[in-house]
Amino acid sequence: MGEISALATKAARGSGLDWGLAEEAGYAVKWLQRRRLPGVMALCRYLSWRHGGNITNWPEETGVHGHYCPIAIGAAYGDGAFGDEAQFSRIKTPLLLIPFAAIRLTEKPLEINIGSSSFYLTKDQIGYTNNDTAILSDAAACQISIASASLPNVTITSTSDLPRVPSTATACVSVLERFAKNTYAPASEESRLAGAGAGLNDND
Amino acid sequence: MKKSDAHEDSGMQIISGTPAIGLRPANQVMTLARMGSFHHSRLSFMRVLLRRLKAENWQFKRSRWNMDANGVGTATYEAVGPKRSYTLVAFAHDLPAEKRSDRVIAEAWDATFTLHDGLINDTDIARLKRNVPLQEAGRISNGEFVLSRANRSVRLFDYVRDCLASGTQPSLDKIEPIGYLMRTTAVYGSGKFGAADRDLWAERPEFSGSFQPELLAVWLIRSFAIDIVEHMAAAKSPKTAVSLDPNIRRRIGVGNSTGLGMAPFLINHPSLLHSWINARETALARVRNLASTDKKGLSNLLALIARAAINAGEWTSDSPYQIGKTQALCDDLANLSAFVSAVSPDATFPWDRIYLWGEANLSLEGQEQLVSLLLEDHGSLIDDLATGMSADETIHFQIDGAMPLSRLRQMMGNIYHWTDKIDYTRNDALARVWYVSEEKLEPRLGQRFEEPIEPYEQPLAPGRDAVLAMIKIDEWLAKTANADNNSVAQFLLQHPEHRHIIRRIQTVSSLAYAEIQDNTISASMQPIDLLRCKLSFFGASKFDPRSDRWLRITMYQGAPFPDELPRLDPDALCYPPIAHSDHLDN
Repeated sequence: MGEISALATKAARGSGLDWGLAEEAGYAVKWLQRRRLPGVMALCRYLSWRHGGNITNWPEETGVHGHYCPIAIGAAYGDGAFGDEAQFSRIKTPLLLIPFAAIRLTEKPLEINIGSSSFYLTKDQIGYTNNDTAILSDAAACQISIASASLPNVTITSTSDLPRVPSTATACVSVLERFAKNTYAPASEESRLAGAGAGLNDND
Repeated sequence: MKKSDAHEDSGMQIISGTPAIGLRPANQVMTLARMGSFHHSRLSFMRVLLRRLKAENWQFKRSRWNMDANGVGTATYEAVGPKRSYTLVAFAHDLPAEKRSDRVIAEAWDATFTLHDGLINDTDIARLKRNVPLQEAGRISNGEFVLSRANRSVRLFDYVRDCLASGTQPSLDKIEPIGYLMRTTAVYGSGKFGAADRDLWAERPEFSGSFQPELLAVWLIRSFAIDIVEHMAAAKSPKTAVSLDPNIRRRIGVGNSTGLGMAPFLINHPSLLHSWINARETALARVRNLASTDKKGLSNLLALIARAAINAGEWTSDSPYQIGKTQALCDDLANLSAFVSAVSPDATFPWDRIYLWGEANLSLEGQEQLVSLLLEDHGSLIDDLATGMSADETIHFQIDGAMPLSRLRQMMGNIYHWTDKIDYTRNDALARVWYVSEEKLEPRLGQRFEEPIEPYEQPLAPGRDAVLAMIKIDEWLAKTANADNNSVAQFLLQHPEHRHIIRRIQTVSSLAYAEIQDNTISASMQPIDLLRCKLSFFGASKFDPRSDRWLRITMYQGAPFPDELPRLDPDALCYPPIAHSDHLDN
């Protein structure tokens, strides 16, 4: 799990996010995977889209075709830049927003509306309606508010054991590895000798 | 004390219930030159581990030894504790000499290892046999905590094998300067290559502190190295071969070659670094605050100085940097011995007196050796500090966005005042780039103005990054002096490029020893100082730089073996015995 968080960080950095936001991507993926939600897949989809897509930078308007970055908006929400209740016209891969809403949880549950689906967060539980539609949502208007209703029936409790990333995510892991590779300098003999520091017999 | 400002009064923290001698200030301790002069101490992790294993009466057994005459096969070593057990699984290989390389870029080794959680069955051994010999190219599981490999010492292994085969003991004069039969070239821990995440075992009391699974593995690898040399001696000459004399055997540790892979660690883990240094500095302050000693206390220190001088005399290196430091250390120890001999047993605050004399009269190498020696005889006063030498880094991850930007700026001025003397517009201040090479994914250090590597730069220059952020924050504050949106959150929403350094600032602000107060990308920076600091906390000795960016060390030299642990005190053995060659105590 630490390994997947590190990979997510590198992949986000390799896709052009600043280091600080890339670290937030690592946090978000780990948070989701620990709750058996497909964080790896979400980041894979987001970064793949971002490669050619156009990000709208807050406070510009997204209009009909623009998208906010779920990590940049999420991190700013977690920082308190928008207050506890906030809404955003369109967020790409909005599943990635949820770990950041969790940062500002108090004793009151939070409700996160993603399109027509709702997530509910408490200190130790996460619940959601409409089965998987919100989890797989490509882009949607999002609203974070203090929850008024009681938690819906579908509930996942935060797990204390650490699930490993399932093998079904293997393809997505490969995509993240490809993005992560952008952070590595290509190998060269110069780098091997100078960068790692050779010059003395190492076999003695 | 979260987000308070330890840097405003660093050095002035007073330990509760003790007199006025405080901790050494961060600006004195946290320079690369001093950190690169640290020596192992009672609080080093190898020593913490052995104290615990002894206190809890752990039992050890070589449970499998399936090795052919060429030394190829499988072995397992069990460590059985009060609640849990662990098994070191060793795979011994036949490695052609031309493939033996200590560099991380090697692809084959004399032996490969993993530390398994619990006792092991043959199915798991078969699984590990398919993966462990491949190291980075293989995959281990949640059931494994450590992955490692080692090569034989060309200088010593065959010599010792041949001595034993012919029925004689190897000479300590040959063993001491080298100190190992096998060198590990990597010891990978939590979360690497499929190994269990740290979260899975972090709460286990036997692993409290830092790097305990890794160092348990290394200690058991030491037994394997002895077993394999004795096995090969017996295979060579079954009729005449003998086992190693225990007193000679004990002077054989495990070597390690470490390169830049380890260097960024101290920068990447500021709260952990603080916990280590803070424990050591607190220990020093506790000893300095002791009001009195007696003849025995002073003679114990003199004996330790003499043993440290033997160690320094045996410390060989081809590195001009280290040769100079070691020579200074030898001179320092002679001068220190003379000074301590003249200290009266009736002197008040004797240890503080000795420490302050050292600060005024010794090289950094000598000063930090003195710190370690002052701690040696005071286990009951300081050993409890070992439990605090770890950190939950997740508690610092969340940024305090509500913090007023002006407050953050003020904190930065305090934490990074040392950057005032660095001119980051000069090329020599920016000369280096930390980057990760695609090959083996290892950190390396390049030349910013000579190689096309800047796009791959890792965020390992906090001083420079803080200066850049301070400039941007000053511009922001000048523009919006009376606006109500001067929070860290609002600034970061517009300037995500400073998010990494601002998270770091809020982390280190409450931790006096979290930040290295030196330019980690300057032309004159010595990367081995970073390695030396970390390895001293592991408990390594005989630091031997092989260039400015990798070095060899010895681990566990002098320490008891598993069969000796019940009757020997590991802390009494970590400096060479006086006149070891003609006085073999047992």
